[in-house]
Amino acid sequence: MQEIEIGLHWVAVSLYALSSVLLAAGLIFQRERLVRLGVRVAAFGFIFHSAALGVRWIEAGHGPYLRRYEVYSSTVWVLVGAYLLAVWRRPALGPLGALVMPVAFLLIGMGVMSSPEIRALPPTFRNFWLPVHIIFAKLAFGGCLIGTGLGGIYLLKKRAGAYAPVYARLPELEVLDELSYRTIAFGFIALGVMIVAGAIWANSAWGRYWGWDPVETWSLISWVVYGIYLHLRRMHGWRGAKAAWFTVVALLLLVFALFGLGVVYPGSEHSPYLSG
Amino acid sequence: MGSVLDFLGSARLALTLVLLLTGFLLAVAVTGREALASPWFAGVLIAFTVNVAVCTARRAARLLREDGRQGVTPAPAVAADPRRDKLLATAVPVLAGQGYRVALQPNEVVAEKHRFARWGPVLLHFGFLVVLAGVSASVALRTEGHFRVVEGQPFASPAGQYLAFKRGVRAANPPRFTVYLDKVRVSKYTEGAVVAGELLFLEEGRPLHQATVETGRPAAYRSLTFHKEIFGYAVGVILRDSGGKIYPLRVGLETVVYPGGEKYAGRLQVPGTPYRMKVEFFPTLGGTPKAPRIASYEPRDPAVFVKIEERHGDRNVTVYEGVLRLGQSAKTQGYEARFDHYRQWLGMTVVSDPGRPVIWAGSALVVSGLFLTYLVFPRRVRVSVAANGAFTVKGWAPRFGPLIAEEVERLRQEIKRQTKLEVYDARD
Repeated sequence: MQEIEIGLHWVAVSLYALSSVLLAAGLIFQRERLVRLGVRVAAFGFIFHSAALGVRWIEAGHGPYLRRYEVYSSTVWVLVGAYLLAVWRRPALGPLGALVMPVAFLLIGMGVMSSPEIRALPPTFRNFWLPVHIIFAKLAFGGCLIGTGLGGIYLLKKRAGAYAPVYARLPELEVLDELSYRTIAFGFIALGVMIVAGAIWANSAWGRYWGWDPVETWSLISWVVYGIYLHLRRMHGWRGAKAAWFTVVALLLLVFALFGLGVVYPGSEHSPYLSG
Repeated sequence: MGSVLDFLGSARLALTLVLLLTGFLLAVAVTGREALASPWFAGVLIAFTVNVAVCTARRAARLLREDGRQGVTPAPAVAADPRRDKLLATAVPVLAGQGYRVALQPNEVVAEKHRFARWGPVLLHFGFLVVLAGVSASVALRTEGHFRVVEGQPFASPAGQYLAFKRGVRAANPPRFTVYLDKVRVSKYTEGAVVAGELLFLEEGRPLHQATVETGRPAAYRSLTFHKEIFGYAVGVILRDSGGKIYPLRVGLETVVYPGGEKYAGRLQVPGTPYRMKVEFFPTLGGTPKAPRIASYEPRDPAVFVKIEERHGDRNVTVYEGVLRLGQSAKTQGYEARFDHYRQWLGMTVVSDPGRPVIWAGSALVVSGLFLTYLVFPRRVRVSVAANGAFTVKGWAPRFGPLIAEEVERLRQEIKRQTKLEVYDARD
């Protein structure tokens, strides 16, 4: 059974890699056909990826949220799912994949290269609030990455001008800017729910809702930084390129908080989740 | 006074304070929690609280004033026109079908959606204040105690061995309770073992409340929560000396977790004798009598390894060393040792934290406020009829940005489709 699951994962990795190349080529060479093909390949990869995670879930007897292999894979699943949903709602957003799919490919690649060993769920993980915490962490990452991607598309369109064929079909600059803002606002809310659900879970598990664990502290920092972004936009009129660059910096911080801390703080309470 | 309030509730001050708080958080992440003890941190936090409170109060007052007045400025009165009114009436069901609250005015249709969401930022900021109040209460009043209770025995605080702390120092008045551990259930003994304890809370010797505690699922009693932290074994060994005197001994064993397994061991000075006893417990005995080991963590064939030593000057002389299965006894130098029973115990944390429910309530307000502020957009649409009989649709939504144009276009198409009349669009 595990061979099937690993095989399905590798098919998804390959298709995501191909999708990344097609979408990047479509954007660089201004070929809309390549962008459309890239989106289809990503959707095809998503089907294999869903099957892989389904098999893994049945095999492990718990959701895919333990250790790097499962955590990265399930995060990428949410990310690609959110991207495909965005393209389904607004087909013109296809080029966004040129930024989203390489991240998806790299993350799932790193996950699949780590140990696929199945671990039993630690007793502290058997709690209603843990899945809530995890689902919202993934939604937060998906929202913030797609929001940053929209900001990136904004910057590219602004630089290329309105006449480049691929960009011409994209929404207007101000609409892209607004979509980026709203998607990041969604990510910010999800990040907030993640922090609250994590606090409730920690309270059930250890009798304290906040322990200044490095993951907790960095998550709070990321949340506050995204809060500053939203505040700057609403109250201080930040728009356009300035706001788009801010999202890039904030995303780096979030990536560090969600994925980089396992390397820096190996003894964290989140070790079962972060370890390879 | 007004300018002071303007400053205290200003967005610029909020931004400055949030940047300073971010700096403190970064200091915590890099150097540890010492940064939180700084009076500067307390000062910034107090200033932030004042800023949020003033800002919230002013926003709420403004919204209440707005709600007190008519929400929509009526269009200038025009002469009655039955044909125009009939046309406008056709747009009403179209807008109502899109979830708008519609008011048919003399010369226009005014439709509003999600007006309540204007309260989102107030709710969000009020939620922050509630969370801060809860955190303050928690910091000032939270008490945390630690104790162990053996299966089949009661534990009464503070008479038992019980350590309670408030703000990092021993609590003067720790929470009082009496709990009886009726049974410990272990669902499986491999990796990821789930250990649950059936608790009875007693008052004046009578059981008043029954609850189950397990890892990640605390038991609640009155304002206290009981969290299962660790579990282990206690073994009963009966020692009888040559004169027939019986020493019923119970040794609480420490659970030592090491990579790949656990070990249960403890030691005891036999009262009134020069003997010291070391005990190691094996839920299921494996290995050899000389080198016993745990074959399984499930207690199917429990045994203890007992070592009795006698003090001779500055050295210990081993009197007895061997493995005893449950009910088995061994004789040595006039003493008889018998492995009589074993029990499981739970190490628990008891928490009294009046700030906790306040923080949960504040968090719910913050999340609701965020939802209303960033995902629900109050919007208003005005539909009027031009001289040539065509509809004009105008949209207004301060937080909806350029997307209101898309909404107006969608409504325009919908009105056109349903009324089969020409529609123009315009933006406020």
